[in-house]
Amino acid sequence: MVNYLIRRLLTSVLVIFGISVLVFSIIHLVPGDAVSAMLGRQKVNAQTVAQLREQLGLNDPIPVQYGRYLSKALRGDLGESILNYVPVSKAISEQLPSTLALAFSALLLALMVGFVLGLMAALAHGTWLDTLAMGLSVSGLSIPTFWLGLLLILLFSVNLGWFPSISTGSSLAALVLPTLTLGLPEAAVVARMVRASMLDVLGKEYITAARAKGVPQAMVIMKHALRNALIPVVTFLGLQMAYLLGGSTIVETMFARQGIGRLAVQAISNRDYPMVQGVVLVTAIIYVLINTFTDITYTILNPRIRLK
Amino acid sequence: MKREKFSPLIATLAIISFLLGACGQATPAAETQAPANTQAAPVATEAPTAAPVPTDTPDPSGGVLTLGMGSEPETLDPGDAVYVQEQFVLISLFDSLLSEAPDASLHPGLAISWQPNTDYTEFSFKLRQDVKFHDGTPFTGKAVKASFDHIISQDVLESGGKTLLVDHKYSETVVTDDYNITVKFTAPYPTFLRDAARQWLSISSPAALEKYGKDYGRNPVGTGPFKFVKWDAQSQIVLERNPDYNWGPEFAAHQGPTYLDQVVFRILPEAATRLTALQTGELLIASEPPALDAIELSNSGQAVVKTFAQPGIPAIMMVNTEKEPTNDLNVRKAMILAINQDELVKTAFKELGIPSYSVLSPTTWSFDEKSANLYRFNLDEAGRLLDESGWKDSNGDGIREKNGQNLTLDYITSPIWEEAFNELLSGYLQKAGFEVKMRAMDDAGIASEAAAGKYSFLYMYWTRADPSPLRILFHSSNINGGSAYTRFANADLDKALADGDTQTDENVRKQDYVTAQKIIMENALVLPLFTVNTVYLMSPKVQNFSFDLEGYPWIYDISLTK
Repeated sequence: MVNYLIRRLLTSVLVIFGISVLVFSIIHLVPGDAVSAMLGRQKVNAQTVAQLREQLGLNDPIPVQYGRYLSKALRGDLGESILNYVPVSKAISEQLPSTLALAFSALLLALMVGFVLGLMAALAHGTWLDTLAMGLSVSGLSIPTFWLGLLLILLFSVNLGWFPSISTGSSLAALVLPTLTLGLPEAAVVARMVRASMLDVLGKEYITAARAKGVPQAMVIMKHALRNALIPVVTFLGLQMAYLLGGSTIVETMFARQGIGRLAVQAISNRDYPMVQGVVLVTAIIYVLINTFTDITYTILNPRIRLK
Repeated sequence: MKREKFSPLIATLAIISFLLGACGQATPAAETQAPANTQAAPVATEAPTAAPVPTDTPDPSGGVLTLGMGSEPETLDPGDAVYVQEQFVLISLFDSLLSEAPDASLHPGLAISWQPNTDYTEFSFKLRQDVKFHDGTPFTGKAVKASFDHIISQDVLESGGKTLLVDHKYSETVVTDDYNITVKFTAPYPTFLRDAARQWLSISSPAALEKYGKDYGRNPVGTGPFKFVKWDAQSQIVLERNPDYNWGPEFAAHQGPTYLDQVVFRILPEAATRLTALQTGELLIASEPPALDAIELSNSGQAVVKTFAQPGIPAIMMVNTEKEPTNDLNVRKAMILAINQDELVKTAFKELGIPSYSVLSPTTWSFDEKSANLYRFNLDEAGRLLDESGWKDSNGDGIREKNGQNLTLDYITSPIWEEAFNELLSGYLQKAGFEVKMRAMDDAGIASEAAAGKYSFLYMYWTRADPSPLRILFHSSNINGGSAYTRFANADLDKALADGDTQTDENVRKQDYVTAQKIIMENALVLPLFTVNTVYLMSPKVQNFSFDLEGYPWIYDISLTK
C-alpha cells in the first residue's frame, strides 16, 4: 500500500513537472516577438517594451529562464498580469474559491441526484420507474448548458424571483442556479453510469451466490453490489471533476460569477501571458491532484488494485 | 437572447461598446478642447439637469444604486486610467481642480479660482480649504503636486493623463503655500483648464499614493462624493457615501453628501445578463442593453431609456488610401455612396440609431454641415464612379473586376461585432459590385494588421465634445506607429489639424476644423456609419438621472424612490 502510494505520488510530481515545462513554453511558442504580441494595442511605447522584456527576463538563455520560472513558481510567485500588475497568484486565489465552490456543489448535486435515479432504475430494472429515470437522464444529457441556464433564470429569477440571476458574492442563494445548471447534466451522466454498473454487478455469480446463502437484499445491494459497482463511477467522477472545472466557464459567464474560467478567457483575449500560464498551471495541478486522489480511492474500494 | 452571446469574448456586445477596447485610440481622448462657452452643448435626449427641488439635507435612507456595466476597469488610479469604464467609476470617487458643466462651462472644483499667464504655460490656482480626502487627510497644494508628479512617474506607463501632461511638457507644480499653487509647462497648453476638469487629472491622496504604491489602482483614495469600499475582481466595485462631502460643483442639482448610501457597479459582460438583472430588480441601471429589448421594456413602462448622442468622431470606417483598390478616390467615393445609412441604423438599432454622414457628429463644436452633405446613398452614382475607374463586372458574377483582379475589400473585424451588422454593411457594398472579405480576429490581431497597413478599412469612434482627436487620427505624422489609419498625407490637412490644436483664437480654430472636415470628406477618407448613441436602461425608481458633458452618468445627484 505504502509502495503504491509513493509510486503514485512520484508519477504525479513528474506529470506536474512536465506541465510546468509546457506552460513555460507557451510564451516561446507565440509566433513572432512575444512581447509585441502581448502588448497588442495597449498603452505602450518602446520603453515599455524594453521594460517588459526585462521584467519577463526574455533576454536570458531559455534554460536559465525556465529555472527562474520554476523556482519562483515553487515559492508561489507566478508573475504579474501585464494588464494591471496584479500578481497572478493573487488574481487566481481571488477567483479559485468561487470556481471550486461551484464545481464541488455541482458534483455533489450530480452525485445525489444521479445515485438516486441510477439505483432506482437498476433496482426497478424494466419497470416504468426505470423508463422514467432513464427518460429524465436522456433529457438532462441533451439539454445544452446555456439553454438550461436561461430556462432556470427565466423561471426562478424573472418569474418566481426566488434566486438571483447574477451570482455575486458568496451567498448560498447565488450558488443555487449555477449549481443546477452545471450539475443537472452531470447528474444525468452519473445516473446512467450507476445504473449500468449496478446491472452489470447484479448479474454476477457472486451476487447470486450471496442471495442463495440467504443474505438479506439490502445487504446484498449495499455490501456486495454497490461497492463493486462504484469503481467505474469513481473513475468517471475524477474525470468529471476536471470537466466541471472547465465547464464552469460558460456558467460563470452566464451568471456573471467570479471564477478562474472567466479569468482564463479574459487573459487569453488580452494576451495576458503570465495570467494564462498561471491559470493553466494551477488548473493542471488540480487535475493531477484529483486524479491521484481518485486512484488512491480505488485501492480503498478494491484492495486488488493496490497489489498490481 | 442569441446563443453566440454566451461566448465570453463578447465582452461588450453592442457594436458601440466594441470600440472601447478594440481600437486602442477609440476611447482615450487625450487631446485638447475648445476654451469654455463656445462649444455646442452635447445633446442629450433629456434636458441635462432636471433640477429637482434643491435640498441641503438629502434623504439619509438613500438606498443602494446597482449599475451594470459591460467591461471591468483595469485600474481605479485616475493617473493610470485610459478607458471609458474607468472614467465611469472615477467620476464618483474623485474631484478635479475644476469642474465642467454639461453645457461645457467651467466651474470651481477643488480650486476656487485660477489664472493662466499670457502664453498659457503657467496656471495659478487658489484651492479650497475645507476639503478632506476619504482617508481623513486634508487636501492641500501638496496633493496636487503629488498627483501630477505621480502621473508622469515611472509607476504609470501610458495613460490618458500622462499623455496630456507629457505632450504639453509638464515641468512642475510649485506649491507656494498650502492653498496656492502654480502648475507649469514648458509648452503652451491653451486647453489645460478644461483637461484639468476631467477625471484623468483628478487629485489623489498623497498619503494613499505612498502607502499603496503599485497597488494604488486597487485602493483609490480621492475627495469625491463616494468612498471606495471594495473591488471583487470580475464581479463588482462597491462605493459608499462620503458623509463629509460638501464641495460638489455649483451646477449640480443639490449640495452636500449624496442621496444614495451606496453604489454597486456590477461587471456583467453579457448585455442579455444585464437586461435580465434589470428585470429581476438586481440592477437599477443597465448600460448598453440590447436595443430591441430596451425599446420593448420602455414601451411597456417597466423601464426608462436614456440616451446620449455622443459628440466627437462618430462610428466610421477609416479607409486605407495606400492599398489597392481603396487608393483610388472613385472607389472610396463609391463605397460611401453604396451605403444607405438611414436604413442601416434603423435595421441595426431601431429607434435608437442616428445615421452619420461626416467625420464629426453634429453635436461636436465646429461641425461643418457642408461636408456632411457631400454624399447620400446613390447606387447608380457609385456604379458610374466604379465604371469610370475601369472596375466592371464582365463575367456576370456580381463582382466587378479590372485586369483580372476582383474589386475586393479586406475587412478585419472582431468576433464581438454583431454578425448581423457586418452582413448588412457587406450587403450594401456587394450590391455596388464589391467583394468583401471579412477576417475576424482578436484585438491584438487587429492591432498588428492595422500597424502593418493590411486592411481596406478599420472601425473607429472617439467621444469628445471638441474635434481635436482629428489630429491624432488624420495628421500624417501619425501614419507610422500612430492611429492615422487612412494613411493619407496632405499638407493642407496637416496644417489645419496642427493649427487647430494650438491656436487660442476660437474663430481661427473653428475655420481650421471646417477645412479639415472638408478635406477629409472630399477625399472620401472615411466611410461614415452612425452616431454613437449611449443607451442606459433604468428602473422607474431611479430619479434625477443625468449625463455629464461626455455622457457619463452623473451619479452624485441620483436618488431612489421607495
